[in-house]
Amino acid sequence: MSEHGHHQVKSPVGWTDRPAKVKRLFMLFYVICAALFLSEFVLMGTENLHPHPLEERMGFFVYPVYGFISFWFLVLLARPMRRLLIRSEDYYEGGGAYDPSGDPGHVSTHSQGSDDRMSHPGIGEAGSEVTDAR
Amino acid sequence: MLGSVPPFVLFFVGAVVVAFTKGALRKSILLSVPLLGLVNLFITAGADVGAPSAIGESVKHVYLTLELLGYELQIYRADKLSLLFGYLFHIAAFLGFIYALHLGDGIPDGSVANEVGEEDVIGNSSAGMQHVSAMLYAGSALGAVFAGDFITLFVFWELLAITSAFLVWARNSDQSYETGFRYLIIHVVSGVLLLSGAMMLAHQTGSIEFGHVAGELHGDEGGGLAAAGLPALLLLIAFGIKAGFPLAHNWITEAYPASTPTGTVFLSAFTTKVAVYALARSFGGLDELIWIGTAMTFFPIFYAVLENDLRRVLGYSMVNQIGFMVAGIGIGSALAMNGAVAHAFADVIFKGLLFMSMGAVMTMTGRTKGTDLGGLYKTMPLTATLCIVGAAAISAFPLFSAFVTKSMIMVAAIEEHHYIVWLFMLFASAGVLEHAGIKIPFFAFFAHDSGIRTKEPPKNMLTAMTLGAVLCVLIGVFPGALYSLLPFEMDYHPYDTRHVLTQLQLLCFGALGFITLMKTGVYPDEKRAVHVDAEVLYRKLGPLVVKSVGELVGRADHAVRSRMMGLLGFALAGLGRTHGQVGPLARSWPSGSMVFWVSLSLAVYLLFYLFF
Repeated sequence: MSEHGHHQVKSPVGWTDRPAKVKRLFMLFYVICAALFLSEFVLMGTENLHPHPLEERMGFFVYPVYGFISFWFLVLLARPMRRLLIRSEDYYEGGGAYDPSGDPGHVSTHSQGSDDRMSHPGIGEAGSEVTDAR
Repeated sequence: MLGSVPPFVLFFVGAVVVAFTKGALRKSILLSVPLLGLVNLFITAGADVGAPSAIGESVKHVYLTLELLGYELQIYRADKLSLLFGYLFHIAAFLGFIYALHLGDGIPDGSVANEVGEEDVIGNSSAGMQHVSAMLYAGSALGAVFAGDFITLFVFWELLAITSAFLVWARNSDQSYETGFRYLIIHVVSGVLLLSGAMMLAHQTGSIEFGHVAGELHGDEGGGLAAAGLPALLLLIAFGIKAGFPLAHNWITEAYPASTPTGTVFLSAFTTKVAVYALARSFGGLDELIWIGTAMTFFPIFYAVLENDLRRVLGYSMVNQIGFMVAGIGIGSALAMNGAVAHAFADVIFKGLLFMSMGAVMTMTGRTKGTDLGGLYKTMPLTATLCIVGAAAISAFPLFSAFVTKSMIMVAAIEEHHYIVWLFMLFASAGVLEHAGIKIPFFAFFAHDSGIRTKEPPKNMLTAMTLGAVLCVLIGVFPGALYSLLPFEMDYHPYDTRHVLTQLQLLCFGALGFITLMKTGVYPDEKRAVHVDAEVLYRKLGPLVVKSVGELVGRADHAVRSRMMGLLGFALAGLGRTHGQVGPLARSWPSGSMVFWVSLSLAVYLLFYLFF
């Protein structure tokens, strides 16, 4: 965080800096997801006022599967799209191709040039921020 | 007196007063004009107004007319459709002015916006101009929705363009200056198309009434756009430019991030919603709109995943949400039309809230890019919470506004057997959750701690955001109030076990998808870059074509000229040889030789005469 370090008068520690809390939050979310998955059995007993052919064909778990797949589809299509369409920030002012070496990206947490395998510590390995902060 | 005043008049008068006042007086006027307007509108609504003419019986009231060149201009016409947008625009203006109230009071306490090097990110120096143009802009939007004929609509259509361009220019940067001009040109073109279409329509039908155009021309047979002819097509393109149809959508993604934090809140509320209103009034049930709308819900979500500037992400989100409305208008059943306008109502508030939260971030940090932000929840917890409410509302979580509005369009799609469209919309709903529901709050307030330490924004900003958030929840929890304002009769209940559970399944498993994408590192990182979109046509390709055609014409011109000059030189040289100073034809001959030649020819003539 060197770039903004100079106005870091105090360094408040938020709940995202406490891995245990983040872990508990994620666990809660997983439990909710599991409950929603199981709720499909409740839905089997209810009347569907607006049935869709897809629901009739697949039968069950249409929505959770569709939601999950949609996100992956969205991102997996966006990635090649980026490769095709990305340009430098001043492209419309006369700039040209995108130059990854000129892009610091997120400050300090990522190594350069490995964007294809980049992980997001903010969500996965929460807590790594604290050590990076100074 | 009140109740018959055209709503735009209050705002235009208010703008003049705002221009000549300062300080507390100006602030009180900014807030009282929309409230007074709302009272005016409630009195109007006290009269018996009904559904617009597209479907069902039309009960409307025309309060003010003018004669112009034999045509009757309806300056102020109210029915249930225009009143709904009337309420909406008053609420949006009220929230917007609360949000912008601090303008001109200097840099807010705790703001680190000056760090970014831009002189006046907040727009303090242009406070007066912003207030006046926002007031005129809101008035123009109201003028447009209460216009009863195409000529009046055209006038307010162009006023919308001009007044809002000042909100882009208010940023006072080179970029906003250029963007503002492009914005203005695009919208003026839309106005010109509108006027051309309206004039051709008047020529064909003899009427300039702002009503259902598609039905007017093909007799409600549903013959589609081809049967409706050129005037309808021109009107559709005019409306479509303002609504952000595919290829014409980039003015949204350009202008919104270029304006000031407060200006964008106004920009997001009016122009596109006037276009949605115009489409609903003139093109309800037009089949082409279903696919145009579906395309609009689909492609922007990919750009939104990749985009770095969070206000530009919201611009793409805007196109996506309008797509739902356009598709609803295309489906055209009472439920779909109601869904479209109800979603427009909800969208102005939750999108306004999201733009406000990003504007608050920009005011306090000077930054709006994902790469620069993160971890702000530590110093701006209230703003973060309010942003999450807006994010939940746009993602259509149960108990929030979009859940009760967007679902009407989705159900109508199934009822009318548009199954493929429904699948696309369901995918787009997941996309909304991704870019607006998760990405916006996550990258601004959580993600990597950027190290920026600031404070909560000024109280007026927090107040406006809180009111917006309360409205998002109120609409979601008590949809009946909004439903009663909708133009058409319907029987729809959003809250049943199946709808709530399936929606939660879709959203939560979408979010689970996001988590897995993050943990596996597949999710694309934010990059300081642009992604080429249709704007490349007029920002890069257009100038390139003009430049290369110019060069080509220049070169051809040069070649032709030098060739002609060569020929001319050759001719001159030839003439010089014959007629020059020593040229045989240019010599002066003595008159004696002339006499000799004349007498010789006379002699020849005489000989001929004598012997033949």
